[in-house]
Amino acid sequence: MQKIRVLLIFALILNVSALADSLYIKAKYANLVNNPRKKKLIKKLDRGTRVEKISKKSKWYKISVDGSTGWVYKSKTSSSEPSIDPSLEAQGGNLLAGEELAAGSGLRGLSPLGQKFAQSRAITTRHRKFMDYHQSYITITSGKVDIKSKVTEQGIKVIKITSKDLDDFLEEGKLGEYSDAPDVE
Amino acid sequence: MRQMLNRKIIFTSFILLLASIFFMVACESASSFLNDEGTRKLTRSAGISDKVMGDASTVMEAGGKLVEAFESFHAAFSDMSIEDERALGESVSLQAYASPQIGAPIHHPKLMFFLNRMANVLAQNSERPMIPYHVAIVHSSDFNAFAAPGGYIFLTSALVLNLDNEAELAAVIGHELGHIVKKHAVADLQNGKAWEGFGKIVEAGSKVTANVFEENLQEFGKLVTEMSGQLIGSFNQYDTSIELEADYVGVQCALDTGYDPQAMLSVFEKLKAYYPKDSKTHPSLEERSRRVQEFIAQQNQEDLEGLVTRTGRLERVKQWIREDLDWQP
Repeated sequence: MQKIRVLLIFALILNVSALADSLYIKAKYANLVNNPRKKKLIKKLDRGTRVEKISKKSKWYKISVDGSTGWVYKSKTSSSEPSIDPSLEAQGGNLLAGEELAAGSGLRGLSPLGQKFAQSRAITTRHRKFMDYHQSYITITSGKVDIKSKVTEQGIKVIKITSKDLDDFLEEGKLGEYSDAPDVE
Repeated sequence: MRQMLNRKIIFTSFILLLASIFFMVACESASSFLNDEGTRKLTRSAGISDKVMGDASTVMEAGGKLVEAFESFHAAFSDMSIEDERALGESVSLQAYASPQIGAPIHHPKLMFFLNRMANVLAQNSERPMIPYHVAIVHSSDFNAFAAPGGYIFLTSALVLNLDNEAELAAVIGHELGHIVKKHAVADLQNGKAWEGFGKIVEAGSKVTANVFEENLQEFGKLVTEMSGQLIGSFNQYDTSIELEADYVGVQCALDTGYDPQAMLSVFEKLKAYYPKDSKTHPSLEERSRRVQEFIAQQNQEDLEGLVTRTGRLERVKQWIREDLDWQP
């Protein structure tokens, strides 16, 4: 009887704590690192990944996910599951649709609609080149998508921005997860 | 007696366990309800519904199906795929480049690399982090920034040269991200003729897509002209409630990225100094400033520590702008 009582109380505590400590990755990706200061990457976590919070130190959470334990920056997480962008749902729920589309524009420059519009309004080659240039820096963080061409039809060079480039931007500016982070054992 | 007590404890524990399971299931249901597509649509339109209704009543008095047409178009715009949204935004941006107020983009690889990394880093912390964003600084003496659907952001050279630190640039880009994230571009279209044609098509049962735009190119041209004209108009073109929504996204993204959100307030001061005192912009900026201050006051002290205002990088950006001649490709 005593054993059952203990077991029930334990199950109750476990239940409540599991509810309170689940978090989701809300950013496009989050770096799971061994230590907030040293930042050795364990793995990248995708948006929507559910993680279990273990503890907190300043703006960092110690979490566990799929057998890995490490630290993740607080603002990359949310207590509720992030919603799927409806504009990507229309692409059959493919979360990489946005990147694939932008990568494709590296090949052709303007979309078919953009080209028709430009023709109908007699928009000059110069202005088309401006638009190609405007969208020539393409952020592709998934690693599963790549730009198809290095130059658009109008001769504008296409540049890929990777997740490392984004992380470097934060590090150079000592921003967010690269500001004065705590050292932990 | 002891046995009875034991039974009571077991019974209470069992009830508590059941209650906790019930609570968890209820939480899951509530969460799935909040993430439900229908509910999300309501949430998405919440910020602009007043304005739409305001427009609607005026048009209703004029007596027409324009209200329905606009609502159909507005709903269709909210439901667009990213491919179609980008195609629309691209055309609006092309029209902007073709207009006399907007000059060439600053043609500088380091500046473009810096700016586009910054916008996409900020967007990581928005509600719409899965689409790529593109930003350029264009030669213009207007003090302006605007965003076209699908992820296109324009900043004028005059605006960026007037900023004092990187956090102010983050606030401006964050605000423009807000317009894209919340899909504000059609919220303030004043000219009924611009969307009437598409509203009728939607009424007939077809969705507004890039293909529908292509098949109705003349109507599409009117819509794009209206939209780009409105964006180029001035920094504070939208209704105050819409600007507030974009401000909120902007300061939230800036804060989550590690920038001091106070910078939004100093940008407002610069806008006040730029616009004449009698313009409608001033009272709106007062209200926006108050609301941003409230937002900052609501944050945890810990989250406001270690934030960045200056990095020295904006000075390089300004130097690259000053060195750039009008690009003649």
